[in-house]
Amino acid sequence: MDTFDYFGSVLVGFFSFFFVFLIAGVSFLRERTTGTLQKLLSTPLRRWEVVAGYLLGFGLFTLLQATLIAWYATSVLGIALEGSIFLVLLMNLLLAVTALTLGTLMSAYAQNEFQMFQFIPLVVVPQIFFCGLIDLQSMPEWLQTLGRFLPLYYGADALRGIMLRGDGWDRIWVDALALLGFSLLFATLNVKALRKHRRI
Amino acid sequence: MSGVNDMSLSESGKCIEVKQVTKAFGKKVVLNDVSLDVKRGEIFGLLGPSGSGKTTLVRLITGLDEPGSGSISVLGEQMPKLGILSRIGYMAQSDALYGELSAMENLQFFSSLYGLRGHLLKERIGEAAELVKLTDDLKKPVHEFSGGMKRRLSLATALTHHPEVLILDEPTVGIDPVLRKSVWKELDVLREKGVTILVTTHVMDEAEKCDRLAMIRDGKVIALGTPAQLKMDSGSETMEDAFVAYGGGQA
Repeated sequence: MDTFDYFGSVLVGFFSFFFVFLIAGVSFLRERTTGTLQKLLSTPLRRWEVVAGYLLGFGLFTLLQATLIAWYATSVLGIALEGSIFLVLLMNLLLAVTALTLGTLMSAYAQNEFQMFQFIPLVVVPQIFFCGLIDLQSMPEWLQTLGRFLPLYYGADALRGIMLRGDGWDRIWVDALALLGFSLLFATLNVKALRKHRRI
Repeated sequence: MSGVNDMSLSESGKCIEVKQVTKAFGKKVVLNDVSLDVKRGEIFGLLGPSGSGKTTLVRLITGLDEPGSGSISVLGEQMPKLGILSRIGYMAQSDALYGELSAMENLQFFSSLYGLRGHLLKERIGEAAELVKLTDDLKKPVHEFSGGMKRRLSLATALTHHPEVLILDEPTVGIDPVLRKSVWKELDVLREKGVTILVTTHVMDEAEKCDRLAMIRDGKVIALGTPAQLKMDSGSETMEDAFVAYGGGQA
């Protein structure tokens, strides 16, 4: 199998994840440090509405970004695309939404932008290891299962399937469901984390 | 202002009631048995040095945080309560504005959170901008604003939904004396319209402009009354002397 295609298909997902994680994290952090988050919470807005608003607003742009990355990867770089481009977009979007919710959640634990970047080795780097870019055959089995707890593992699995093997929905729905689950979990934790800023 | 004339809730004439409120963060006690009432339609000042617990008290009243013990009610409702937030205008110590957006866009965004739309939204923004004298600068992006302009825009964002209670945390900090005067003039205008205003300050001469005020130090109310009363009772010429006399120490 062509190495470039193999790496390329995974990287399409990785870039969606990485950029959205950082941008979402930093912008939510800025809401906090500039005081606009407090201002938002002094209005009758509910906590989940703040999180949902972020999801909707950013979701729109991440869809644009995902389209751009997928188009560039397949049309300009010529990475193989056996399956449907729409499935690629869907998985990219799901990955981006997971990154968005995870990024905003992590930002609750950062005091400034610099600390947000310190989450990269903690949150992003392990995902590169476990998303299939590196052969982990010789790694102890218990360590290999760690990948199952990381969103990119599922995103990369689905993207590889769609782009290299032409997998359809019937083969990737588990991955899609996993990402949806991660997003829901992170978003719920987000709403909880906002309790720190307003009790109700 | 509309809605302000609704006096049904003012059975007792009290707009904000703080009863024996204590609040601690970890082991540090920030508010210690604080009690005070703010009457409808008055400007009530919280005077104290930074770190005295003013901001914490204001955050409790706004419902952003809960007291450890004691109770707070605003407009007859126990706080924190989401439904009351639409009747409160809150201006935090930091200018909570989006620098990339224009003043107009900031006002539109924050006003829409209170459900203002369309024609009414436009009208209210025009009115608020007029009051803080920013009508000619509405198109400018906020990052080009001076500190004083940002402060006034912050005030405007707290006004568009016609709150019955206005809670202002250090509204004049970092503003030059001329502008400070104009902000206080604006507050007077709002009071005339029946708005209840709670304002924190560490500037002693600003305290004189309040109808009544509470002096706060180390999380305790050390004195409460009208400025004239406080000065007379402590036998002081100035607010500053009065603060020291009441045990404010180095003011």
